[in-house]
Amino acid sequence: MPTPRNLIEKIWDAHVVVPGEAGGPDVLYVDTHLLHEVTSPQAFAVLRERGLSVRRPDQTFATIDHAVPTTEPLAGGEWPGLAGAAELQVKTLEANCAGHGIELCGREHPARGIVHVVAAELGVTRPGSTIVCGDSHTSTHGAVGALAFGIGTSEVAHVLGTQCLLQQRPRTMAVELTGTLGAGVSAKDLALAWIGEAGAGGAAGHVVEYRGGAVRSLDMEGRMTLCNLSIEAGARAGLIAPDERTIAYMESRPRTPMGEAKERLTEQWRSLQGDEGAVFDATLSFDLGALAPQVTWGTSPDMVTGIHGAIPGPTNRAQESALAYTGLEPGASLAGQSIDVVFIGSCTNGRIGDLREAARILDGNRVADGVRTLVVPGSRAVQRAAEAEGLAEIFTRAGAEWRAPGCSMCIAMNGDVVPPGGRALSTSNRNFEGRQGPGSITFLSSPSTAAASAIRGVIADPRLHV
Amino acid sequence: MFEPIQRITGVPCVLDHQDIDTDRIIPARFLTTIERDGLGEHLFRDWRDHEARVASALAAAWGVASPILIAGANFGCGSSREHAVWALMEFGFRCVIAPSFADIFEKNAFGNGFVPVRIPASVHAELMGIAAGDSLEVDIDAGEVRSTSGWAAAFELPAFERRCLRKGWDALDFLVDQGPAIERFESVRV
Repeated sequence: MPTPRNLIEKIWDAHVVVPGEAGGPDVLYVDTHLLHEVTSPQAFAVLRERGLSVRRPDQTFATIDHAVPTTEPLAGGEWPGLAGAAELQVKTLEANCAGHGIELCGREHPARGIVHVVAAELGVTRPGSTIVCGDSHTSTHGAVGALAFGIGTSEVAHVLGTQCLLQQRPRTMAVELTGTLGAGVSAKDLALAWIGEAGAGGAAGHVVEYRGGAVRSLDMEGRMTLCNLSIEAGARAGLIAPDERTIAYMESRPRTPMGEAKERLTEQWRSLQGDEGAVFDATLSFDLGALAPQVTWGTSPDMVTGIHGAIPGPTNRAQESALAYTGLEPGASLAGQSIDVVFIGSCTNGRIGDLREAARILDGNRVADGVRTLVVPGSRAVQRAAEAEGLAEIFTRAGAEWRAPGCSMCIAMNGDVVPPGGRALSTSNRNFEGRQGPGSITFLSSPSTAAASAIRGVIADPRLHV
Repeated sequence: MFEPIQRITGVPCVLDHQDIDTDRIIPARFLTTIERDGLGEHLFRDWRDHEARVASALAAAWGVASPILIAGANFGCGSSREHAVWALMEFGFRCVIAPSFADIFEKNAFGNGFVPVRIPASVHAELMGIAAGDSLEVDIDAGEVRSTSGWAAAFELPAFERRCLRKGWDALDFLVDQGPAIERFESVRV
């Protein structure tokens, strides 16, 4: 009898080209390589220095998202707001893709958007595959049962040149989430709660498989939000075994083939399950019970509590420094804290379901005076859907800014920044010091909490609206 | 390829703080570059602007050309940006000693010949006690950190990575040599 293997081990084993010697790293094959403008230019430069070509341009897919403006490019490609170093990065990626025959979801492309939103939407992302990108939120694609992880720029060069990586076999962790999410509570709250439990380095060295009723109850977009945030607990990746919801999602992707090929693929995808009796190197179980909306209070995503919870007293230097930075008082409640900016978007919460969640609360309301509210769709497809469904109109009527797709204020590289000392409630993934601009202070939350808070100008419980 | 590394010696710079993320190491607004150079001057830019102890620790490190940074657990967490390693190296650091590292940062570090020296939390606590003004030596071959005052502790480096550091190899050469195996793999995969 072969040893039972969990799903992570099965996907890993199926991609080992050359096993590592004496516990050393394996040569791991990459099915899909995603590129964006910020972490790729130096990798293409390495190829040029070494005289290498791109081994599999057909398995490489590029987008521009991190540093691009959230304005619309003009017909002909000129893009107001795209200038200087960011423009050079975009042009460099355009030239590199053209030179190497790589598909680029570029400035005038009808699918343009955030790499992790677009690749999933199109079905570039497939169950059972290995997917990498020079971006730590690549784990998003684990939602369909792929092994997807972020890499640095040197490794981007390795994949461009050889379609492989040297990677140490990961330890595996089962994260079992049980309990039900009530109205106004979403995948983001679930994710933040488990990160709070695990800690920012709690899953380091591990790939996580999310299991349990609370995970199964999530729709595909919610699963993407959960997997997206795996890195915030230090995990190398996070994934969810395919079920019928996954199959239905994949069947409706534009790049999933039709007919017999689809039948073959869906059969293969259904079989992507761990063996009976398979073990993990670590197992964590959380019963979320009646989970309250979660909001972060510090400068790491694990510094988080329920919206009515008290900001804790510091227990280490990082927490001390976080409280000094944010100026929050231990013992105070998060609910009622004043905010200056609300950002709804990012690869964490920039999909259509997220915007529907926010619009439901903003519908017929106005954002509070003095609160700048930015709604940034994750892709053109999300943008079109939101406009067709009337969500965009709800946002603009409420006094929010409805922008074009991109990473925007999540990483604040494109001019969408929180001013120094400004306090932002953000649906993005990181509340690090200065993440949304020098001196900015970030509270992370779900789209519902962000919308409810925008209306009041203070952190507010979205359950008052449901 | 990079210069082979055997030992790193100097007065360390101490930033005793856990979860130092790569945004803190090099803020995102400096990533709009197509080069690896020019990042060192922006190392810890915002952190040193608002925490005096960080500014003075880094100014002192700059003054003595310190090649050794000592930091808290989970160093390099967050964004995958390799710019964090490039910035640390351009500033003059050659290694970071910490109880643990974020996975992507650790890979990025090894790939550039920058040494993530992982020591147990208890050893880290000892090191914090002796660090002030004392010079340290990080010996890659022996897997040992030593101070001029006689303190010493062992650290583990994975065998493959140790060999790469000692020879100045990077993984790309190794992977390119696997061409035939990659071809075989591609010919049979579905």
